[in-house]
Amino acid sequence: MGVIKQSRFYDLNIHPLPDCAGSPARLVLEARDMGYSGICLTSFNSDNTFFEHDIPLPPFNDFEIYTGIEIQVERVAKLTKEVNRLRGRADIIIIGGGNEDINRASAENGKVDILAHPAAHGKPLNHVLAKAAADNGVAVDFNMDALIMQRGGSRIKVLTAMRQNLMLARKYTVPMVITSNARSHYDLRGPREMMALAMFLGMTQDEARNALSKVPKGIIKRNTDSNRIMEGVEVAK
Amino acid sequence: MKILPPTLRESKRYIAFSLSSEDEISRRDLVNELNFAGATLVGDVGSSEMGMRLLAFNERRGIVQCAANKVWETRGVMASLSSVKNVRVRMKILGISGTVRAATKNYLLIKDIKQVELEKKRTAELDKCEFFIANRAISGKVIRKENNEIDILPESPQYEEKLNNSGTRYFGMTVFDL
Repeated sequence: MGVIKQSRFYDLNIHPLPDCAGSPARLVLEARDMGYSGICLTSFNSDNTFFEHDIPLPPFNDFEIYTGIEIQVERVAKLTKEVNRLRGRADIIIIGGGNEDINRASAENGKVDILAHPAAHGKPLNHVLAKAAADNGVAVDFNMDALIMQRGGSRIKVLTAMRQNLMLARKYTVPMVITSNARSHYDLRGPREMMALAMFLGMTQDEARNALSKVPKGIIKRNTDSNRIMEGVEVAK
Repeated sequence: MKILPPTLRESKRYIAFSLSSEDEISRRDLVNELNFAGATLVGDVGSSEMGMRLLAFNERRGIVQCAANKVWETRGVMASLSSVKNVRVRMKILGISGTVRAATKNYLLIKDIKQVELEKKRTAELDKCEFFIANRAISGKVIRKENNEIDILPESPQYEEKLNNSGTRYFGMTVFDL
């Protein structure tokens, strides 16, 4: 268990108050209490974006707060427009997927960081999308709130789709992230609980751990590293 | 009847947890909900293999017993608990031990140390509070206050939709938002 203890865990999709029920400070405190090393507060509306200095908390040495936007759109043309507009404004750009066209457009867009809840409607990804996501470095999200909040038929559908996504992600080495998609502090779960839930999907323990620590860390580093100019171009010192 | 000798008994683990909830939860309701969560997630067969039992529970904290080789499954079942009788709850697992005594000593008897010091000592003993989130004022009735955490019931009806969306009854705030 030493490996789990040493890992730094991140939850990259947590929705704070102007959209949902839980002030950013409360969510930060609860997440820190549960053993996370950092969270990303994502808003649906780009006007509500939070920055670290907006949150009235004493600064933590061991906790990182990032801002993100979850773009929820219906049409593909609007998605591209929104991504280009918001890319510079937030640390992490997340697309609320589920719709097949939106899933495809975000998997093919290199500016997108995470494709969130792609299996929301019970439809899995396919090999074309998985390949595109792997090529463009778009991480596929496994949202654990589906397992927590739903029961019965709808949960079975989502679980089946997630299993398929996992199989595809393994085959094409698509980056996987596990997020809580929390809408209040009651939806947050500790890192090990998230791993336990992900293991019900058929993930191995190492895969689940990487999806909570290594992959999110890579996404954060990619977006906050000032030396990085674009994919494959970095300022060398 | 003779009891089973210790060497033949199944090896067990004891999971200490804390429960945060919107309202008070009775032991019976929690047991029912845990059994239901186990039955829906892993089925009857899986539940019987896990051997999950709620040993002690005092409204905030408790201990769950499970089979030693099914700790991860039990964690998952406990994590999949979202509400008890329409009251939102959240189980946080404090730690796992091989004996009840160690679990109690190491995880349950420790005082709740909130690492964030109250640098600004603001009192929220009022019935009503006003919060500023993203330059927007939210006022409401204080339902509960515990350490730095405050639950409020917002006054204006425009927030009702947000509460419904999130499936909660109250907004979760902290004293730092005041």
